[in-house]
Amino acid sequence: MAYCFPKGFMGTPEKPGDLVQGTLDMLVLKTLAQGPMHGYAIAQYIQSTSRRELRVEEGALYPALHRMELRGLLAAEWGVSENNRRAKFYRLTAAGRQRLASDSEYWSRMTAAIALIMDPA
Amino acid sequence: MLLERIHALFHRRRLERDLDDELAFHLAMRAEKEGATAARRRFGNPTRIRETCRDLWTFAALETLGQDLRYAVRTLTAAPSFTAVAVLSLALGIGANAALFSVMDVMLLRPLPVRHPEELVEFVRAHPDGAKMTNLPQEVFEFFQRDSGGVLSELLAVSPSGDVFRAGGPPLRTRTHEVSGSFFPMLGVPPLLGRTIGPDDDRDGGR
Repeated sequence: MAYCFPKGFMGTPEKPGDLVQGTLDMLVLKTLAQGPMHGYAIAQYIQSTSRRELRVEEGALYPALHRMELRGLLAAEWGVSENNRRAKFYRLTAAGRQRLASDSEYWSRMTAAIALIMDPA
Repeated sequence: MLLERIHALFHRRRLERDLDDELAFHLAMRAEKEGATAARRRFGNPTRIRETCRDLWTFAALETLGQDLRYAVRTLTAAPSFTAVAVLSLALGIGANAALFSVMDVMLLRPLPVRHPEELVEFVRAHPDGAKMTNLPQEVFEFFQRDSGGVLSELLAVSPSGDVFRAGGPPLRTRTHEVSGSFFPMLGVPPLLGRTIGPDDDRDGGR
């Protein structure tokens, strides 16, 4: 999977805090590496772990979750949430774990390459 | 992915309910933290999210196509005279085009059904005033047949001749051409039956 730079990367600046297109999948996979979670917990985790720099729109999160479930990267089960509500819990599949590994590797290479240009030694 | 979609096709109601429940849960969790109004405002349009997710699980494009087709059939049967006129004009248009194309295809597009049609050239006489004639004296044909300066490997001559009325059985009017003996071997057109005339037939006493 190829990552795209945000639309504003070369031209008009985007609102800060919007997720770089395509990285949401990776962040969700990384979040779920800790164990099964429902959608709300995933959004909360990404927001708090990024010190509220990243906010996850529901309109992007749920289509992403369902797409990855369809592709077999995630598996889902209905369970009971911490406050006793019926909730859909997502977890990584073997394919999802594999995708996370290759995405992380690609991400570190990309950010390192960009850093070389942005902060020349 | 196909299997999951087919599965979802037969469990459409459950898919809808699951999507509803999932988003309702998320909204409820946010409402607990931020208050119901703020949660709903920031959540965006739940119907939109639900539709985006549902389209992932279904053959959305195919189903829309099916709906459109059914709608078209209903509309057309509701106006039979309009439908008749439309179908008729389409049929005439398509028919005329097909007929015209089959003629053009044979005349212009398809190569002549002979050996090396791309190597054929035609001798033409040009008058100073621009008129062109394809009839040439027999002597010219024989001259070039003996020696065309290495340009042509073979020559053939064709001359339209009169109508023929066949004897035996009902009279039949047929357009005929007289051709030189080189005609059939040069074009590589074999006869269905018997033999064609050959170069030997050009000579007196040939058979």
